[in-house]
Amino acid sequence: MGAAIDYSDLILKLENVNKSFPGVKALQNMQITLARGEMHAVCGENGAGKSTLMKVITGVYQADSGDMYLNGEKVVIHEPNDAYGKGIAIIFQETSLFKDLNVLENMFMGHEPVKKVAGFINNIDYAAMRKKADEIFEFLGITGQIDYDEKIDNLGVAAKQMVEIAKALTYDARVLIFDEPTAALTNKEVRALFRTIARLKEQGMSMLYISHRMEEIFEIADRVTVIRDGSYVRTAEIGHVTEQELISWMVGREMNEMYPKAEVEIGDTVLKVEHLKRGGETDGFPLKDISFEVKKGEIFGIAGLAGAGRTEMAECLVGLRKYDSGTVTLNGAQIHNKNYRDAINRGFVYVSEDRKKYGLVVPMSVEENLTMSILYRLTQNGLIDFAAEDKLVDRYMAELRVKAPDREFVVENLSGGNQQKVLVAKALCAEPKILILDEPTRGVDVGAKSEIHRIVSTLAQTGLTIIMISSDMPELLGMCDRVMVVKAGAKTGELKREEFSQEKVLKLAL
Amino acid sequence: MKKKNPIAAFFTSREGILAIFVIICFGVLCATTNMIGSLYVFLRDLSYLIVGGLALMMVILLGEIDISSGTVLGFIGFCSFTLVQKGVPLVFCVLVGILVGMLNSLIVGFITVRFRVPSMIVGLAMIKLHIGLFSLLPNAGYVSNINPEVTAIGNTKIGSVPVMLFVSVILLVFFCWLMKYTRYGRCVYAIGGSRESAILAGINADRVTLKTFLISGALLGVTATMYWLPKSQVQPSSCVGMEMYFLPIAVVGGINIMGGSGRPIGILVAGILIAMLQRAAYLLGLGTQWMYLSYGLIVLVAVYSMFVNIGKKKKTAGGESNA
Repeated sequence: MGAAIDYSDLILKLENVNKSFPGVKALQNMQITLARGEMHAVCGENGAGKSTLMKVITGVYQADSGDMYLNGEKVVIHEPNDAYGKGIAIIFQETSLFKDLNVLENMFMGHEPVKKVAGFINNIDYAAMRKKADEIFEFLGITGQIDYDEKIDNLGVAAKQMVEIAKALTYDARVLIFDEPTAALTNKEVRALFRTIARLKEQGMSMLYISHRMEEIFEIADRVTVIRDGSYVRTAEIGHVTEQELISWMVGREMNEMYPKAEVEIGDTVLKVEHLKRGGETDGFPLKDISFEVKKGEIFGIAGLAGAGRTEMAECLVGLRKYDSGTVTLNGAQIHNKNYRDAINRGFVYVSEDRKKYGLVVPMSVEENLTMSILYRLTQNGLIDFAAEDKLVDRYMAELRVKAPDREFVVENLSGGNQQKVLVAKALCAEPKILILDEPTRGVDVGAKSEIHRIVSTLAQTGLTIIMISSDMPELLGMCDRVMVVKAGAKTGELKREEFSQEKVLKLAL
Repeated sequence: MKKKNPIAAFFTSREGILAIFVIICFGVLCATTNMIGSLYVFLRDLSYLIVGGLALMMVILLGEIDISSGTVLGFIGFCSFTLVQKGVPLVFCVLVGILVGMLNSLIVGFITVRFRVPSMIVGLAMIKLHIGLFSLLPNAGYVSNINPEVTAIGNTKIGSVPVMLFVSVILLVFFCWLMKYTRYGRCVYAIGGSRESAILAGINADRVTLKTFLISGALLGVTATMYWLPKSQVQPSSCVGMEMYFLPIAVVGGINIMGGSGRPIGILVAGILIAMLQRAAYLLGLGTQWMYLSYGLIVLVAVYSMFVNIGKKKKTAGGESNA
């Protein structure tokens, strides 16, 4: 592509960057280099640390340690404004534009050119803004395609993205970062975006490009860096690497944990889902024809990238979302859960991935949380039977080894792993027949994680049907009997335990 | 699990520390002014403040609010005391008052639940409706020459303790029990803590919300009765702004303004504090400006202490490893 790039002429270089969040090491000795005029792709699985890395570069997060060099000079970026000032701009996956303001106002938000009036009043200089916008649109080759006075709300996704790019250029950006820019675009819009990117490249712009889509990476990138579990794996020139190699680097995550997968006799089909469809216009991602069946005693895994529609599918099953068409059959009878109450009555329990928002009431105690959904069984004439409640809670706390000083301990003050255990315990209290776990071990430390795995395995032995959604591939492959892979709302494959391999799953998911 | 001494546990809690402060203030007031002499008036004010505080507590625990709880007292007063004047037995008049209160809160609750309008805005609209309504009522809703026998019932006392206070205390005890020992109470805390989680636990959040507004409305009916009964006249327009007594009681009493936490016992302690400030301003001859100033300060301190508390909790949650 174009003139040869001199990979020793670095515009941006990061070395030994570390960043941790409570309980998680998000980045470890991360490194990346970006040559002048280069299009550099960054790829990795869900949770590999791509977004964290970009946030460190753009000053949204501060690295705990490590160095960053811009044009060979060491720089420290304290906040997003610093990054803009130094010519680094990011185009977020979900646009950060103000929807009620117009294109021009958005492009110059926060750094509007001003004219002094009466010596001290800063008056926004619209003429200067228009002039500069004209230059930028010219530079991007999209002159006249977007009306400056249009409200952002009235623009399509692709046009919004163009405005984001134009906005980045108002900062005289020399490094542009794209965070999965094509996730919400149609094919035609992707072509238009790539034309713009090609034009930027011709003008010598250096770009980082995060994407899951292999074909895109191979089409537009010069080099690619693979990261995994917050660590740098390697960087390669696009001409010298195959898709297969990239996938194998991405999945190098080791299966170093023991999975307590117990042999369970698999029974009859319990749940059968056929041709489940929903449009994604309103909120969430669309589903395009998903069919599967789950048997008694089985742990059925659902793999896929973030945004593939896994959570949406689970929420459709338990009545938290509506689906447009498709049938759900439970033990041979067709059912339709209109709301979550229906689902509970039919024995479904859904453990949400967002435990703080949809799961636990954090200012309440462990006991109050555990029995929340089954309080009706512990009450007579509206009065809570405290003795029965205590007994039940003690049992589940012991069974799941919830480490809290006592039943009355406020959930807010528990560690993430223990909160997750409380959430699972709460689900079990409801005595489900079908348990849907959405990212059951996200943000949980290793010890708690293996305990949750042990619990899930024991549950399957008792004849519970479990559907497990997870981005942690070793966990899925270690725990599940079968794994279904979804991509962009459609099922792309299903693997039996004996066919499991991380490469196969990732290949289906990408 | 060790059971703590309940008295020690109370006095180290938020409400308990406030109680100690209140007791000290009360002592100082008794020593320096004629507080004992005006004990009756103090306790009479306290009676309706507690019930009004409870009414607001209920909706605030849900994460909602009812700021029309002040003006509605005037409307309730008009309805029930017009009936009193017509010779209807007092019991029925009070029941009508309670029903009017419930109806008002039901409207606020229904609009909040059905149309997902913040209850603050609905309350704001209701206030204006009430004020508009007052001027449309005969005599601007002013009810005078109330049968002295009825007024005497409101002023019945044992020593310097008004009988109404017993009603308030009974209600207070009832609500302490309701919030702790019943499924309904637990559901209210759950919804206030996280509506989404409560719904995921199969709680019918909309129904509980409506129920709570009804209960709050009934309490406002009782509040209105207690407020007007000892007086010989009802003047609805004087109720404008009354919610600004109940709201501080709830907030100072430790009811989290975002919902989900706080105990009814806090209403008692904060009610005493607010009633005492009212008396103190009068007894010390300081005028209402000092009363309002001290209200403002106390609410600010209360809210500040609440958020400092929340901040601390967050820190432990983040910093704690696997305990």
